[in-house]
Amino acid sequence: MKMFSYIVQRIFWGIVTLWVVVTVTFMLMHGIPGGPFDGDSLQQMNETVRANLEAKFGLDRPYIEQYGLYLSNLFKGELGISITYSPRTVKQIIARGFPVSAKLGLVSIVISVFIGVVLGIWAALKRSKWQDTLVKVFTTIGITIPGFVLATMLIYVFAVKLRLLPSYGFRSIKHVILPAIALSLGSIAFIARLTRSSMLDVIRQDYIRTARAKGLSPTTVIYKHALKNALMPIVTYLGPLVASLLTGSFIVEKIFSIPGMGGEMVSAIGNRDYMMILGLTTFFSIILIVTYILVDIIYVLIDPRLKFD
Amino acid sequence: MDIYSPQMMEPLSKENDSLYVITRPSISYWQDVFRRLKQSKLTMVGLILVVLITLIAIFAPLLTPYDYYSQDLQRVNEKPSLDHPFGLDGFGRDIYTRVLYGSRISMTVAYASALIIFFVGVLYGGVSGYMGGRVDMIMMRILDVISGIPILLYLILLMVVMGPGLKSIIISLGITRWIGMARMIRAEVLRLKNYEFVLAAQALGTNSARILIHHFIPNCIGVIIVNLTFAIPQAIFAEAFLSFLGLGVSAPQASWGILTAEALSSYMIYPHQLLFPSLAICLTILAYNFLGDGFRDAMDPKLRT
Repeated sequence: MKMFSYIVQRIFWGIVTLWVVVTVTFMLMHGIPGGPFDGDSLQQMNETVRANLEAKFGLDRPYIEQYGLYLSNLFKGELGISITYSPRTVKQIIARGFPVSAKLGLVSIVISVFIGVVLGIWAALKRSKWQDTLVKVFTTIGITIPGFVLATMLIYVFAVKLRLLPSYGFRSIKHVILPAIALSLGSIAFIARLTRSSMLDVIRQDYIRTARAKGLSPTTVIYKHALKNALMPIVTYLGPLVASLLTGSFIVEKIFSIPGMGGEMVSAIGNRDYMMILGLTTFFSIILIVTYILVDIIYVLIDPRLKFD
Repeated sequence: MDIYSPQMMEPLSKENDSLYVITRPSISYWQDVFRRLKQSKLTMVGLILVVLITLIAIFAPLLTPYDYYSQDLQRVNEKPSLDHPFGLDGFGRDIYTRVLYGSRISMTVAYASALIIFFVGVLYGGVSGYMGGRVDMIMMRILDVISGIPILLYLILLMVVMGPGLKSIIISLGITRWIGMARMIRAEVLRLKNYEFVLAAQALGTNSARILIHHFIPNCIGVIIVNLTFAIPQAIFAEAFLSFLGLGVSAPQASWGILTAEALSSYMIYPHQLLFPSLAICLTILAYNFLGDGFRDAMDPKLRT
């Protein structure tokens, strides 16, 4: 029951946050000079055509009315029609790009967590031995190399020189490998470091000594007793990571020519496509809020010491 | 029975009392931190690199015979040679010089946004954590909203208001990146709030601002320094990302981000144009990471063994 009221409370605050985000975005967006029909190619646009177009998208109405209209549409679950890609709706554009980005993002999340945690445990168990140093060197490289440098290096080695994997597109499993590595190396490195330090922290605790003293096998002690507790900081880090990986990376998707939604926000702002800007912001915020709530719930579920409040 | 020999049972002479006198000078927390920093080789490497990079950025014009904008159209895209150690770019400009000058822009962005992150993050997180209750909740919700709004919107708005350039990049990075720092400081203050020294200060009638500045911030300094050393590489990354979108400083000036972004389209034919700016970015980030790791290890008593 406590969990239920906690979730309801969080969802309520999530909706309030979403509303404020949409409102501030609306104000900022209209604060930027230039409208969707001011582009260079439309320089000589006829005044009547322009007025008609603006009327079609409701841009001739006062801001407060446009804002009210957007909110009431949002309430019905509608995100409106994209101004640039009219007559396609914002929802259709998201429905086309999001699955691609999400698929790539999910693969990257699984890779990051799995490899990161394994490397972290390994380094912690072999502390100050060569394995620890090896992991340290690897994670330092992972944190140091910017995503675009890594992506171009991967293409250069695996697509151009070795001709093993395709360098662009998103059609088969083979197309996923390089961008997924480019996306996940940084987070693998971060998760590995996090796991290592939290594992070292946990191993020193009294309950681990107790477990050993009971005569449990080292494997059981590590995986049943230590790892469960060591994973807590990683769950915290997962929230923002999942949200950012699911919504796509502008740079990696651009370099690998992946038809995801990483670049949609950039082009929407460039085009002053008001509907796309609001729609994408709403969508991203929902994903962010939902992942944060899920992470907090998982946190309490896996750690019985914490309580919902 | 040679463990307990009769000699051991004899009383000790008075001279041995000197053994109990503490001869080593006691060292303060900061002396200890610096001692530990000096012991770690990697941290020293990082520190030297950071100082070196900063000096290079300051004295860039003295380190090169060329300037960053003159073009030698006869030698466009030339490979590295003796008089142009990093080669030439598509406009015949010396890449070595452009990387040197680029360090000025990248480092300015990094240091200036770190400064904003420090002041705003510490103040916001400190007030939020110290006030607690309703104020804390509202301030945290505001953070959620700020992190929900796309950074590009702020940036473009700022560019329109202030004109494109360094200032708007620094401010927009500053106003979006302080959130992590604020959350961290808040957590730290929440923990510190329950200590007796805070109660003592309150009982003596110290006002909140003084408690925040004189009691909380010195106790958070470890978290702050570690956070800042990691904020600087993040700012360099973020500046590179903005340059990727074409929102960086305007040509012919170039930051490291712009240099790599420009080289990316032709890296298969002219890899040297991508290599050197990327190396500069990697080396700088590496240096700050070494330094940050060193500070964290030296300051966190939990990591000592």
